[in-house]
Amino acid sequence: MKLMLRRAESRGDILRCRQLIAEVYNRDYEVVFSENEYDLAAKVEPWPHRFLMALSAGELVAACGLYMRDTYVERFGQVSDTDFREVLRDAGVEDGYDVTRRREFTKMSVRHSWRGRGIAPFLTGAGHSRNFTEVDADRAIMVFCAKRSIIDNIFHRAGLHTRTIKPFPVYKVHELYRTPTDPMESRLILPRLDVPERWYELSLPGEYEVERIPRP
Amino acid sequence: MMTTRLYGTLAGMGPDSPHYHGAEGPLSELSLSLVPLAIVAEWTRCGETADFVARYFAHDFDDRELAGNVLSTVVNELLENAVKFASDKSIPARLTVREYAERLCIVTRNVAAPGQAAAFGAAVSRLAEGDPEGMFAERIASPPETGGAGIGLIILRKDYGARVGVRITPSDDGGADVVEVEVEINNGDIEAGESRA
Repeated sequence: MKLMLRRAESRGDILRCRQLIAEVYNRDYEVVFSENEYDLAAKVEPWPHRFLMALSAGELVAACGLYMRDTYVERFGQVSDTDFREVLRDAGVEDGYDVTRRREFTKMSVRHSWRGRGIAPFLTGAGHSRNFTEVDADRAIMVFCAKRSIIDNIFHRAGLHTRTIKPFPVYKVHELYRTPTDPMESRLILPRLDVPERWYELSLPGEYEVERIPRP
Repeated sequence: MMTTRLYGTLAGMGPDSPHYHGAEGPLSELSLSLVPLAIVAEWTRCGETADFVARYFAHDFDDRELAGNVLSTVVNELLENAVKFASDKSIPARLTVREYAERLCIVTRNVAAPGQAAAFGAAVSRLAEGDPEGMFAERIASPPETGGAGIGLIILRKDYGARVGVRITPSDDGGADVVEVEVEINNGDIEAGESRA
């Protein structure tokens, strides 16, 4: 299966991404969205600033988002600059990145009728391309929050190396997502170092064959 | 054609009613068609739509600010329900407000999964027949995990004396039901605000 990957640029592209993500998140987790207002207790989430589209014959089959600032991890995950610096120090790369510049991969959504074809790990890997995140422009770090099963079955399956920052607090918005046995964590990904070259250098836009990656 | 099921209190004064175009018909009417997914994608649209509809009708009340606030609360609650219970969020839902000499009738129409529609209808029946104060206290003490008539509808009954009804029309092919929720409030209760309770 081949998918065309490209960043959502036009108003119509962005609207299509928002509607796909809203449909998936509302159906699966009863979440709604807003541009300017958020309330995790009322299940209202903020929209990402940037979207990556996965298209098959023109149909949008999956999309993911990127917070360019005001990341979920720092706003709701109680993660501070000190926490980020500690992870960088442990990795021995304190001077390689600017922890005040943060991007967050988020809202990865595959249309229900297109699930089971390996799109999720493929798009998650592609979403860490420097041509989408533009982390090399300002030495930014990548962060995300997810439940452990998603970290293993999606992020690690894509070959991404992730570094634990701290457990993610419990909010009502995640009541249909996380469980006590599958908790959420805030994690950090160091661009170039933790992102395989095939993803980091992935050209966008581009058409790519989606190969299924076996579960770990 | 399968039988339409009715729950709670329904005025039945839509365009199909023989009284609709007579002296007892609505003096004013506003109807909106909207795609639920657009509200899911920008939740503030729900409140903004409710505010617009409320202001539109508040002009006919002596205390426009109070009437606007009450109507916005009522419309917002019904719109939230219509969006939440729409089983296919790409199929347009409809919001209609009809103004009569002594009352206002707000109707939402959306598609819903058959089981969910029946559960909602049964909950509205209980709400229409029960004591709203007692039901409110019960819901606060032990909120249900899912389903049932929302606490918002109970508040509309409790604070504004609203009459609530549901009309469920099953599809011929066993697919989604069409659910119409109707809330009727006396104009006097709108102008009295919550103080009537």
